[in-house]
Amino acid sequence: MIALELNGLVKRFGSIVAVDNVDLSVREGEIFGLLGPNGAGKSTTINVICGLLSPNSGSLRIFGKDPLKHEHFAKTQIGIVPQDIAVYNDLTAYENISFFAGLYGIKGKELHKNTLEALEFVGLTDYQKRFPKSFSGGMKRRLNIACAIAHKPKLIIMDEPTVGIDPQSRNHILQSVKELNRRGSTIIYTSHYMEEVEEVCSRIAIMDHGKVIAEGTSKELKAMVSDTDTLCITVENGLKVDEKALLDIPGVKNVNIHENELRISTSRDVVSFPKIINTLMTSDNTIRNIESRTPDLETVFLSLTGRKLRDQEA
Amino acid sequence: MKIVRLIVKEVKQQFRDTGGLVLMTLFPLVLTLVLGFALSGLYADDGDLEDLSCLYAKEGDSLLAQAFERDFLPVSHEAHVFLAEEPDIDKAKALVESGETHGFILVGENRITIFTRDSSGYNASFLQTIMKSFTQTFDVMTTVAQTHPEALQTMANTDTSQSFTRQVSLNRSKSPRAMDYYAITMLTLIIMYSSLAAMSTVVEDKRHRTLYRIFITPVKNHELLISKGIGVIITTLCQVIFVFIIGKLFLGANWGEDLFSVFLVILAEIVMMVSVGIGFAYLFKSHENAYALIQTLIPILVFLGGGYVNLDIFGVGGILSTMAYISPIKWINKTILSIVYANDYSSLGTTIIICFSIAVIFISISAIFSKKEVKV
Ligand SMILES: Nc1ncnc2c1ncn2[C@@H]1O[C@H](COP(=O)(O)OP(=O)(O)O)[C@@H](O)[C@H]1O
Ligand SMILES: [Mg+2]
Repeated sequence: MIALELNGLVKRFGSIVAVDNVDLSVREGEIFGLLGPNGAGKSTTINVICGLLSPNSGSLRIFGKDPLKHEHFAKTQIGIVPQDIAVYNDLTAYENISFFAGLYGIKGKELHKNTLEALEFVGLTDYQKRFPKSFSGGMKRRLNIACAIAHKPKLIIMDEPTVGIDPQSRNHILQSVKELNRRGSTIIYTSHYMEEVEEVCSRIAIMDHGKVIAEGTSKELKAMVSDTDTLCITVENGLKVDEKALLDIPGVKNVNIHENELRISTSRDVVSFPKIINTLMTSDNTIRNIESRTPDLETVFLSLTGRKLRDQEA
Repeated sequence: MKIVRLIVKEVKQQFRDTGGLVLMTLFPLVLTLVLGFALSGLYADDGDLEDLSCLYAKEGDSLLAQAFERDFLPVSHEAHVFLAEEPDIDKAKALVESGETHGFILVGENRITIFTRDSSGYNASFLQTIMKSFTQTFDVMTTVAQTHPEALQTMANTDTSQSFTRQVSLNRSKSPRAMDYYAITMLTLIIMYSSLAAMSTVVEDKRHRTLYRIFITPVKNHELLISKGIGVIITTLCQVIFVFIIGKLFLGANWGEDLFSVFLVILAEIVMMVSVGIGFAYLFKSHENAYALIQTLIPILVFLGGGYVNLDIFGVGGILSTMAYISPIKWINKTILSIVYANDYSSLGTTIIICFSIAVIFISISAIFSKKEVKV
């Protein structure tokens, strides 16, 4: 069974094409990762899926049904953890979860039971009577998740659920993603942190500028760059180098410069290492460290786009 | 069911907003108390009635005119009304206009006409009331005289003129004391601020992104709007009832006998202001602008409506008096005061229509503008 299917989805905002002809197919029971830098179009894709935005063209199906024709069905099947924390500060943790689940039509004992389960699941049982005002960032993120799962959706979409939290809370959230999946939910996990996506997702789509530029398991994606090595070179003081000169070296595929750090993707078959060093030395750089990395999703993204995933941050 | 859930949540949130609760309950009570004491000299007082000096003229020597001179003139001073004859009608009217006399009573063939400078003031409504009760008594007497002349003798023995003035004095003391006046205007004042509460339920939902969360559930936009409106109306009603009871018990505020009609006007005002608040929240892109506009508008409208000081008492006539009628609060205050102090229902219909028309306009605005937001 296909949980979610997108066909040729396009969403424009004026001249910006936020989602550009996206085809995706998420199978029931998967943890599907949507990886891409800020502005790639991940949140926009999600807003189209949950019906908040209507697409300019293309079609989508949720568990085989057109959400435009089966709005109630689609909405109750999906649980969304929004990118921005969306809870009421003047309602307790319990009241927040119970209120949102109630809007899906759950009532009475079942509502109470589901609410307690959701609290338990995110580890906020002891804080159920507290107001989110007093919560840490991580606790708020967990409450944000609890509010999206108490109505027991079959498809849970998490939009960057770990932004701005401590490593411990992040770990807790990653574990709960896996646990939710074990309990039978299909999950779409959106992030610009490739380590997270690599850790929890069974299949991954990489998005950039509204397009899906690669798709597959983590292994398959890395195999795409199996002929590539990444060279990380750190220099003293400012890096003085002509990017073009480096790209002219045979075997060099991509160059990414960030302050004192230089990342170069090179073809494994061509020996380019001495020439790279030579170019750097003749440009008057003092090399402090050289490191060769095995390919990870970062390498994949770098070799596909020539940019680092987290360019915008830093 | 979902609507009930949404309403319960709204009411819960409103009651947890202690700042809002204080503003809506303690504030009007304290102001009523302070203004009631501070400005009591400007308003009617239980024991010490202000004297009204008036002129009168007779048109011919009708039965009515005879009765007026025989039954009313001798006792009118007991109601602190002092009458002097001024046969020159034009001169009398001019004296009224210039404010040298409180009023002019023209006794015609079979009707009495009253001229005052400001027909909506208390002195005017007081004169209206006593002359009405006088003509009613007169009508009864004439009817009796025509049908059962023998009964007239008995009636003459029971001192009709005596009971007539008692009735008159009673009416006179019914004009509002400062405390009563402010109990009413402060209540209608705070109801104006329920628009802010209504606006913030929408604004806060946007700010905390909870609106997003609500829109991804199967809740319909109109369900959300209706529940927000009803939620704030319920809360405001609770606050109003609280202020009403405390005002009556501890400040002895007079709300008259017909509480139902007064309640109707108050409910109309609440519905109007809650709709305005929600409408503003959707109409303005910037919440700050919407807040600022409402915060500026309310004091102006309330001032025109006589909420802070009774403009009639200060004799602010002319343009300002006329302008005041653009303020819905003027209609509301006038209607409640008329019902409580003069049994006068003439403006009730207009006021209710004004309130509900404004409400309908802003509900439509909310419905149109909020739909757009679902999509972006
Ligand atoms: N409501 C909107 N109006 C105009 N442009 C938008 C809107 N929402 C998103 N965008 C633009 O669409 C692109 C994709 O944004 P988004 O989906 O938020 O990316 P991501 O979630 O991957 O960071 C960005 O260029 C963003 O500026
Ligand atoms: Mg996003």
